[in-house]
Amino acid sequence: MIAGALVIGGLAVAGTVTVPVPVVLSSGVPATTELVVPCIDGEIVPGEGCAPSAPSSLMPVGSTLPVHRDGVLRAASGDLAPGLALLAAAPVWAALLAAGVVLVLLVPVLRATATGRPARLGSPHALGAAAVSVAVCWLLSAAGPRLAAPAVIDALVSAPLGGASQAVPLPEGWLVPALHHTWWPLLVAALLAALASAARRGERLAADSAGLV
Amino acid sequence: MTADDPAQHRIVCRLEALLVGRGLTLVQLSAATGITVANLSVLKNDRARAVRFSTLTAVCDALGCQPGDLFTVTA
Repeated sequence: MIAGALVIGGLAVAGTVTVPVPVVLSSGVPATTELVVPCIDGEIVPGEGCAPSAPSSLMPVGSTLPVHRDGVLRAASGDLAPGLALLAAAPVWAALLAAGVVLVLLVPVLRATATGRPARLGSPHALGAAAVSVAVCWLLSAAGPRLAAPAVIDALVSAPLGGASQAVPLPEGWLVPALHHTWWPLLVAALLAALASAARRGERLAADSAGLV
Repeated sequence: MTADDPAQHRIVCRLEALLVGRGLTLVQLSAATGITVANLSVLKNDRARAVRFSTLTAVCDALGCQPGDLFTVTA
């Protein structure tokens, strides 16, 4: 997993992998992310088209489905500086890095626990390091895309939208950076920190009772 | 100070002498007392830092001795 994190980071820096960053539409922008429009026969849609399509007798052109879209709006650009591309890809490589570091640190702790030595010397340090790793990687995965988002938006503003005959730039101010993160990794870090504290106390108890017959 | 620091205490265990006097081995004493050979070895080799009263009772019963026969304080 650590190797995977390095690979993803390297590909992001090289510009081979582009990871979208979270954005939101500015207040008052004449656009919406809420509509789900069905594909109707004969209707011209931008991009690569829309298939399969439904007959217009089934669904009138211009109608929308009665559903609500939920989730994060994301934008990507392949024209970022290497450092910013690395920050934009932080959610991917930071998650892999955290998982890899936790595995490397905790496998010896799990082995010691399985052999009946949970308070083995070094377990509190390993658990504490794992907690810090998860917290730091969570911070990177939340802050990285937010820091890269302005550059992504600037690149999109300077890139023309629409077909060749109607290429127009994205109006400035329509997209703004957004901060998106999940909270559960902090729960994992807190749990690991609590285990580290318990292991430290267990280590002291084991030291106190060493040589007791 | 460490557990094996001789400056921490001056208690010497005479378990080996008692076993030799009664013709017993550590394994036999372990079977008689229910104390593991490892713990009895720790006791015999003066590596113990503390002894439970239950351990002391079991050993003294098995050897027919008093705690003062088992431990002495060196000068």
